[in-house]
Amino acid sequence: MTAVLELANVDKVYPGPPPVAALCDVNVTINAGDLVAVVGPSGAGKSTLLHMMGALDRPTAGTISIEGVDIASLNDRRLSGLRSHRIGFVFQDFFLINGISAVANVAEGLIYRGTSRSERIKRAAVALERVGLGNRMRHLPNQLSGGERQRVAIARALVGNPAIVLADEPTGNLDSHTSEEIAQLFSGLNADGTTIVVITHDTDLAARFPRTIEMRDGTVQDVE
Amino acid sequence: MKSRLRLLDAIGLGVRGLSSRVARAVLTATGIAIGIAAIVAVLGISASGRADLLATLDELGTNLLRVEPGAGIFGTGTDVPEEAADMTLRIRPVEQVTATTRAEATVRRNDLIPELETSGIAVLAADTDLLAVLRAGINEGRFIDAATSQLPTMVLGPVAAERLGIDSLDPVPRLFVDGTWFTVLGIMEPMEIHPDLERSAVIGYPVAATLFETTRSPTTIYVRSDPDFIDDVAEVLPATVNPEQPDAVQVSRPSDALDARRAADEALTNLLIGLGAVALLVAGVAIANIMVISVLERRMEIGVRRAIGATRGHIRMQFLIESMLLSGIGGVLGIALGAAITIGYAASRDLTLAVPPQGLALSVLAALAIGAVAGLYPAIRASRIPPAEAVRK
Repeated sequence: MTAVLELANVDKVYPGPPPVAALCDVNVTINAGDLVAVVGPSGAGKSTLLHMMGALDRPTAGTISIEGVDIASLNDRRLSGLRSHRIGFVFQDFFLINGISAVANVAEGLIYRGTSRSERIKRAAVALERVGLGNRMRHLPNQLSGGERQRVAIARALVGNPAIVLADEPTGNLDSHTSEEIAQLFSGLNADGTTIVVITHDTDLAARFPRTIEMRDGTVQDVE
Repeated sequence: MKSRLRLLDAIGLGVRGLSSRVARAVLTATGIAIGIAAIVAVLGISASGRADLLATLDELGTNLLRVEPGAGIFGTGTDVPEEAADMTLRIRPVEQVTATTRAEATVRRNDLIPELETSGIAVLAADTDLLAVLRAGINEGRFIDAATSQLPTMVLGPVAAERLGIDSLDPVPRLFVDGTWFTVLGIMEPMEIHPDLERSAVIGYPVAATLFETTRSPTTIYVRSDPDFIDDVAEVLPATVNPEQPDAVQVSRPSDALDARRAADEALTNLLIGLGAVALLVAGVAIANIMVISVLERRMEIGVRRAIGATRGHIRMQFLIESMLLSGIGGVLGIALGAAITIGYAASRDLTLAVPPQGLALSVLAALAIGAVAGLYPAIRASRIPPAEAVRK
C-alpha cells in the first residue's frame, strides 16, 4: 500500500488571544484506495485536519507529506499547483458559482491547470456522467436540487483525477435519502480506485465506511 | 506541478465577475465615464474653438498696429499734423498705412430725426484702401473708391447698418448727414477686433473736406509692419505721428485682444480639465470602494478558487482585471459621450471639429491606470485571505 497522505506529529495552534490548539500531535496515514470517515463532535478539529490534509493551511509543528512531498518545502505557487493537480475538495455548502451551468462549474476545477476551454468542458462532461448527472449538464445551480448540486461539486473535485478527494460534511445540508445517495456515490467512486476522506457528523454514514478516524479535542482518539 | 491560468481565462473570470453584478458595474463605471467625457469634451471643444480663433488670428494678422495720435490728455486730434500718415510710411519696416478722421457730422435716417440722435454712430472719413489694410471684407455692395469718395456716398459698419435699420441695398438706401443725402454703397463685414469701425459710417476724404471741412489730420492710423520689427515700429510711432506731443499718442495692437482671449480660453480649459481630473479621482475611489466590498462578499469564491488551485497571484490578477475592466468600460463610454458632446457643440456653433487623437488615447490609458491603482489594494487584500479561513463554515 502506498501512502497518499502522511501526517506526523502535527500540531496546529491558532494564534490568540487566547491561542487555540486545534490539533495536538496528530499522526495519520491515508493509503491509496482508502475510504475514510472522520468523526467527532463540533470543535474537535475535524475541519482543521481536513484543511491540513488538503494543503489549504500549514501546520504549526510536525510534517505533512502528500505523495511523499513535504508541503513545508513548497511555496505558494507549488502548493497551489499541488492542490490543482492532486487534491479535490467537496464542501458542505457546495460552493458552486451561480450563473454558470453545471458543466461550466465542473470545468472550473481545471482552470488553474492551464487546460484549454474545450478540453475542460469535455472532461467536465465525463465527470458529470460519472456522478450520474449526464442529463443536467446545462442546468444552472439554482435549477438543481441540493443532492444534485453536491454531485456537481463532487464532479468538480473529481474532474482533475486527484490523488485524494477531501469532503467536509458533504451531506450536512442534505436529507437522509439524498445523503444515502451521496454515500453510495462515494462508495462507488472508491470502488473505482479513488481515495476519499469524508468528515461527517452522521454516524450511520461513518459506519458504512471501511475505516473511521475519531477525533476529540484536537487529538486522534481511535484509528480503525 | 504548478498552477497556471491562461490570460484569456483570467479575462473571462473578470468579465464573469462583472456580469454577475451588472447594475453595480454600470453604476461604478458611470463615474469614470463622466470624468473621461468631461475631459474629452473640454479638450475637443477648446481645440475646436481654438482652431477657429487661430484661423481668425492668422487671417487678420498680428502685425497690425492701431495708432491714435491725439488720444492723450489733450483730447481729440486737432493738433495732429495732417501728414502724420505719410510720415508713418517712411518708417522702413512699415508696409501699409491707412487713416481715418472723425468728421464733425451725424448720420440720421432722415431729416425729421433730431440731430442729437446719433445712435452712437460716428461718421468717419477714410482712405479708399482702409479695408485692404485691415484685411476686412464687404458684406454687401462695395467700398468707396477714388471716384465715389468725391461724392455723397457712404459705407456702413454692420452694427451701424443694423441700428439704422438697413438690411438690404435694394432699393438703394439713402441717409441724411448734416443737410446732405448720402447714398449707401455697401455694408462691411463684422470686424471682431475693430468694434469702432463696426459702429461707423465711412465716407471719402474729399467729400468730407467739401461738406464738413474735415482735414487730413487723422483720428486713427492703421499701420501694417514687418512682423519682425513690430515692437521697434511701435516704439518710434508716437514721435513720428505727433512730434509735438508724443505722449498723447496711443499705440495698440488689436490682435492682442484675441491673444488675450486665447490665453483666457486656455486657463478655462485647464480649469475644466482639472475638474474632470477630480471627477476621475472620485470615480477611482468609488471603484476601490466597490472592489473592497466585492472582495468581502466573495470570500467563499476566493476560498474555493484557492482550493481548486488558484495561487495568490491568480486571485490578485482576477480582481485587478475586474477593476481595470470596470474603469476601461467607463473610459470607452466616456470617450463616446465626450466625442458626441464635442461633435454636437461644434455643429451647433459651426466650429471646425478638432478632436485630438492623442487626447483620446491618453484618456483610455488614464482610465485603465485609475482602474489598476484603485483595484490594487482590494486585489492584494483578496489574495491575502488565508484559504482555510475562507472556506470555513
